[in-house]
Amino acid sequence: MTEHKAVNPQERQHIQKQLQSELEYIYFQGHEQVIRQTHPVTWRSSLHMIWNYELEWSWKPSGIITAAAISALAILLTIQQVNPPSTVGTEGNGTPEKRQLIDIGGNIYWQDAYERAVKQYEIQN
Amino acid sequence: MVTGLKNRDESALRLLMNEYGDILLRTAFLLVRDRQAAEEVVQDTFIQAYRHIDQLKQPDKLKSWLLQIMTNRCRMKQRTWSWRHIFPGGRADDLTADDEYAASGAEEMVMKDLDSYALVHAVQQLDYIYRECIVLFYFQEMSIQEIAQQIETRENTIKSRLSRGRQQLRVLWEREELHDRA
Repeated sequence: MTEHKAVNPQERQHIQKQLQSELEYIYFQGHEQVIRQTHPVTWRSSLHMIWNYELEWSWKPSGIITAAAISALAILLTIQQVNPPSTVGTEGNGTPEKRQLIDIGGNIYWQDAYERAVKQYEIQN
Repeated sequence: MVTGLKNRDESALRLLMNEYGDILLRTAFLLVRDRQAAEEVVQDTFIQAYRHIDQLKQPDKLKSWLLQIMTNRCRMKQRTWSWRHIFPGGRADDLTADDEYAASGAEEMVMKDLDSYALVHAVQQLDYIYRECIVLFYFQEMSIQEIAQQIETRENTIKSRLSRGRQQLRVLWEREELHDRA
């Protein structure tokens, strides 16, 4: 900041003049292109004007919507993990039915799975 | 001129481009470092100015309004990706064969001249945030307050960017001059 106060006006002028002299061969040549965009005369120019019409897109609302969607999905998945649909199962025919837990010798089993295992054991022996 | 633009007068737009086209192009060239990109920036600046001329509340601030549009566009150019990369033919400024020949010849001539120009190269090598301040301060001769308003930044930030930019510029300019002599 202190250095800025020490700016020499002559130095500033020198730099300005130097830049101007270095850039003096650069001229704007796009007049006709601008006019073709602002005052189209042919259908092709009109089409191009529409094609190039600038749409302003703000990333803020779309970012907020995306963040909200991700949060909602995360909450939904968390809820599903905390409360799994444990009381509903499917049998061999694919129809959902209620499953029951049973206590055998201090261990907890699904009743249908237990019965299946017992049946299989009986067949084997 | 502003009244003419508000009345959608083509000659007023031509007058505007004649008056400010060169200075805007030179400034944009310093900022975006590419002649073609600078040309596009300035064309888009005029188109935007023409379409939104009703937003200009003080006609005496026309130049600084145009500069603001242009600096915003330069900044956008630095960070945006354009559909034109996929559909390059989608512009109204399709050149005829003669135009292309003339443009490339002019470009070559300009670049040949610029090869020996150390300060432009030095400015263009600055980091963008410093380049922007240096260009507006030295080339456009704007005050710190005006620059701060233009790029919506605090004055102290502009001062520190100018200070750092000047340090970098000094080193780069010397290097460029040495390179040219070699």
